[in-house]
Amino acid sequence: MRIEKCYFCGGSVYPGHGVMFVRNDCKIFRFCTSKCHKNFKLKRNPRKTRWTKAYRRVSGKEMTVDKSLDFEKKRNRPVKYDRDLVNLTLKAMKRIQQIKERRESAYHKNRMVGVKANENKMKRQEIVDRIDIIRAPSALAKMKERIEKTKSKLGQLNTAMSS
Amino acid sequence: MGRYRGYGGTHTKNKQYKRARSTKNRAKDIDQIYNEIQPENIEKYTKIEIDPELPGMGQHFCIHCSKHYITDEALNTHFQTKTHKRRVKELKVKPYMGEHSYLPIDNGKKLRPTPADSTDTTTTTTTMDS
Repeated sequence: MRIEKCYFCGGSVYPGHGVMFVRNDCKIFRFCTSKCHKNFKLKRNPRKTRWTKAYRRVSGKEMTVDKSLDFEKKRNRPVKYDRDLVNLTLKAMKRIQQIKERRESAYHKNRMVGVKANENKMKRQEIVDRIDIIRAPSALAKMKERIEKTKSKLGQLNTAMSS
Repeated sequence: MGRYRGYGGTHTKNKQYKRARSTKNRAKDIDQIYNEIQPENIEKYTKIEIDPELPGMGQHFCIHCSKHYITDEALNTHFQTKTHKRRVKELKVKPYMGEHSYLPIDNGKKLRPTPADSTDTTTTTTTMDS
């Protein structure tokens, strides 16, 4: 018994779940759900489908290089039952999960650095560029000073980001 | 709520749709084609043999799209189409072969070492990482 990986989304395929497809060149494809199976039949590229593991890894949304990821491996040799070993493994699994979660959250935090500031900058830029849409021409003359202020602030932000 | 889930669907009466998606007409996957166009294999797959079952006796074949055409003219017009150009572009990079979905294999040390590799006989029984 083995928990396989879905070809399309990269999720786990538990025993008794999903579909297996064997192509006429003996290559095996496993799918966790009919959603993944259908997407495969449509010949979609998992690297370009936004919700798959493959996409997330390729585009740097998830941690890919880490020691804690190396534990999950395919082992083709059965291990002889040993009560102590099982206990130890179960203990280790919990600890590894803890470490992994912490590292993943750190990775996410690191990835999100500066996103908010950039968003604010973009909003400001949009207002400056499209001010004539939201304000009447007569009002624009009155608020000339404020527009100039926003512009100068944007310039500051741009220099701060580039430096 | 939702659509009526009785008999039929969008494509039940669409013969063309069914024919295109039948197993008989299943086209090659892009990773298979990618293997075929590799320099070591391309000679094998571009060999043209006369086959009366195929369109144009199987003489006008586009390897990138894995499709037979009836004449050379038809093949040449196909080469100028967008679908063909898109396919050629797609095949420039190695297609997805499930490398992210496969788990790496690690069997650790041998449980019962043969006399030939008796150099590491110290740890033989416990080979599970904790």
